[in-house]
Amino acid sequence: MQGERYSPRIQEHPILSFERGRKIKFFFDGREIEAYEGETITAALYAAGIRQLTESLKYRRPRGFFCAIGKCSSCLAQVDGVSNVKTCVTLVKEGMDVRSQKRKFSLLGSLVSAALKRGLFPSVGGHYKKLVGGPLVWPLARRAIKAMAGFGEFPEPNPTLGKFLPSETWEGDLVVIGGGPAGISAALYGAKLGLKVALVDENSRLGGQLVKQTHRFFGSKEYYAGTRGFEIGRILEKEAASYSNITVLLDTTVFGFYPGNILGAVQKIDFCKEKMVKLRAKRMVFATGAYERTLIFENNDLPGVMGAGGVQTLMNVQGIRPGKNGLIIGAGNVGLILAYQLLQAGVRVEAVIEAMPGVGGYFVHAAKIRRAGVPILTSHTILKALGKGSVEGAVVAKLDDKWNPLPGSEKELECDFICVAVGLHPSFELPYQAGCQLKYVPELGGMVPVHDQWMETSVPGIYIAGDTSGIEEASTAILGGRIAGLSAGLSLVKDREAEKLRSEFVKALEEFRDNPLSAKIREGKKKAQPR
Amino acid sequence: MLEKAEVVVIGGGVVGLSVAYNLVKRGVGKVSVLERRYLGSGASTRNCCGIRSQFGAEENIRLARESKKIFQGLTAELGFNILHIKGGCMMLASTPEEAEILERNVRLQNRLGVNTRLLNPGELRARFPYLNPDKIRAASFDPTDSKAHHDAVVMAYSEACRRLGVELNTYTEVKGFKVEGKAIRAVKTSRGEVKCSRVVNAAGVWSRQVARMAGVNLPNRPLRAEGMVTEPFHYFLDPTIVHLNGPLELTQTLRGELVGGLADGEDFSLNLNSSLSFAENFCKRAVEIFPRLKFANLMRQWAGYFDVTPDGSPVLGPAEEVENFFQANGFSGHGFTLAPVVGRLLAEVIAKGKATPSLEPFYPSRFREGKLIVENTAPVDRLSWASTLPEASSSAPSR
Repeated sequence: MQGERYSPRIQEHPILSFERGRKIKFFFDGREIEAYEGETITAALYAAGIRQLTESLKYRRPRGFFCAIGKCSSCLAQVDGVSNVKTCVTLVKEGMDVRSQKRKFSLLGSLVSAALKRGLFPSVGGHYKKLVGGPLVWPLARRAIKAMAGFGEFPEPNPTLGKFLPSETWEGDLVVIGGGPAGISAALYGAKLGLKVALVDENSRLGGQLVKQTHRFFGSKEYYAGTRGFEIGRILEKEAASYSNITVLLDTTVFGFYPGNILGAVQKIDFCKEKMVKLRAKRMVFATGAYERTLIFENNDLPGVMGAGGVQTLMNVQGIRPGKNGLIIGAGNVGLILAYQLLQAGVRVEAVIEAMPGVGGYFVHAAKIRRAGVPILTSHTILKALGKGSVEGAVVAKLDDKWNPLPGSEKELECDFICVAVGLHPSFELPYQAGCQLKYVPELGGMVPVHDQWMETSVPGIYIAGDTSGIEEASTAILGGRIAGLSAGLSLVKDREAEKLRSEFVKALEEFRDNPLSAKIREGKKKAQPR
Repeated sequence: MLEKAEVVVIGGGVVGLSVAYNLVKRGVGKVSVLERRYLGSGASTRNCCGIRSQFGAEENIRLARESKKIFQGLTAELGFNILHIKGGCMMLASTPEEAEILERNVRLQNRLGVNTRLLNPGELRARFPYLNPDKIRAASFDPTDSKAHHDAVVMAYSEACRRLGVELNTYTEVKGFKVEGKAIRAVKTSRGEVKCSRVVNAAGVWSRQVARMAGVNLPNRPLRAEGMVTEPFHYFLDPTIVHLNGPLELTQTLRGELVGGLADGEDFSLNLNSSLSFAENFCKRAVEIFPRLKFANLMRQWAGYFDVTPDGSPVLGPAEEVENFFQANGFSGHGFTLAPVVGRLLAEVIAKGKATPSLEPFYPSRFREGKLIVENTAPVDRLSWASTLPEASSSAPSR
């Protein structure tokens, strides 16, 4: 692998196989780009060496994607005349006209940008108090602000686009939002109790983040131990398909919770071909997962600085190498597993940087990458990313026992991409909209809905599972999902067996967390209990 | 909190703040503002920022014309940039009835010195190519209409108030009044009592409830409306677009977001939940008028309310039942436009103690006398309750 000429598309992989569709061509800012059907626009551009997709609003800094799953908005581009398209979740098509959303040139706008960069204008909110005097100040400033406002042109798209189908309504007993391990499990166990279930996910396949995991899981056999992550995803997906009382709605984004237990959703049928779906159910399980955190350091927005999950998506789902030589920030399980996955894909890992004095993830994972020769630098942090337009290196430094960088310990590392693996925070928007009480629990990753052992929130009939209830892992997400699905079902139908089963799952969860590494989770779960 | 104030203003929205600011500027003495939540928490910051004088009643046009003049110099007057943009306002009509209203209004406006023009289809297409000509029967445009950032206007007035010594009490709810004879002597609040010689009721949708506590009957009713914004686009839409049916309103902010709203027309509750039916109706209607909007994403939505009166025009001036109790409410969706001029005129009336001709037609007594100022651009026009509403009785309910 090491000797072979660098090609961004992975041809051979020890575990995964990538079936690429027909070879096609599309355009980026007028330049012809080669791609394969089934690739996202972002992935195809990345493979062609294009990392910058947009620029920041105020300082016009280059921006590339961070998350690759449609959350971060740094991959927005104009596609066939439609502005603000999330290119990381939009499939490329033959002849597509993709344009980066750079602002029209305006002398005034450029002058203001330059002035802002030099700190010549008052910062946030300053325009209210500074731009008041004189008859010329506001008219001039107003023109400058107009020249700088917004992302992308107001759409003037291809007239053949924009087919919106009549809206549909789905009504049933249980709607589960999120088709990851937690959500599928909740749907399955709700369905086992005979409920009419809808399982909704914004991606084009079920499995959530399992689709990009190549490692074998631990734990006991009953909970898929020894099976690789993406395979667990497929098993769950198949099982969900075997229930006639589960309706799976893919490519469907829920955008809001409305009074009367109604969810508004949009189902994407094709590019710019959408349908509104109204979901009304007696019970709801929110298994909406989590967002990747980022880290504050100089140039952390440089294209090539990506979330660990974003890198996994690019590499393990799209089959495209993120670069030749990567730097990983964070030696928790995600960072360690990612390092190994990069090696599997034939990518060199310069180092894994960890601010804590020890490795945060499982020892086995750390040992595996150490054996492969990847240094893990503990008590280290990244100070800045280097490069113009894209990552070309990084400066790291050692930390003292008060977390301050030690002067003189700075060193430059070579790398052409940086993976930020510093944890996740729960995606709590839907439960928040639904009126669920939230609590800040750092042990669980941030704001979480308060929930009891049956996974019910403070709003009766609304349950949560998976990372939404606290950042943990797929095995516990599966158990939590089963409990949530059973609880939702048991509130509608009586079933002794199911009650027993649910208690068993609660016990299994406790056993799973009964180890020193889960102490934090146990603490967090206690805090998230209702009073 | 003050124990005694010359004037107590109930309501810390744009109208109340404007009244308070103009009162202290005239030197009437201590002014205290009571706000049940935070400043601008009601309709003041839930609207679509439009400022226009394209109305259908002479009295409203006159008021709005003056208000527009004040808005023009408000940044300089208050020392706070209200982000004023003179982009004009376009009123649209789809049905023959709506078109007739527009044409009639334009004639009236022109007679009063407002230079509104009816646009012919060619002009409409040339100047506003994004609008769907098939859905528009008539359009009127006044280039001197404008928009300003509603938060900035509230902040500008409140900072000016603070500077001039107005006491701004937030999270202070009015619980009742001490009324002796035909005058209020004190206002009872959740934080104690304030003695005062005059009271202004600028409580927006709560005005009717507040008035009732003083034994004053107002015909106002809350009408729910909702608003939304899209993702930000490069700036292209200077004018505010108002479709008479609803009314439905749409414009662009200086951040580039398209902001729009629509009155529900049927919901008179005070609930502030966003509804899916608004999202659906607004999108459908807006896309009809503005077809390219279908490629924009709705990012956020919120609800607000209009304080509507049977004739769609504000209630301004002293109450009949209680003489030192001045009303500044019932704006029926036009409070943002009218706040500057109403503040100025009402302060004049309160300070001088006598009526001003431009304000007199708006006195609450007009409902009893049947001298309505029928405003055909207000949402109230289509409300069935307006015609069936019992006349405001002069007998005070029990306290």
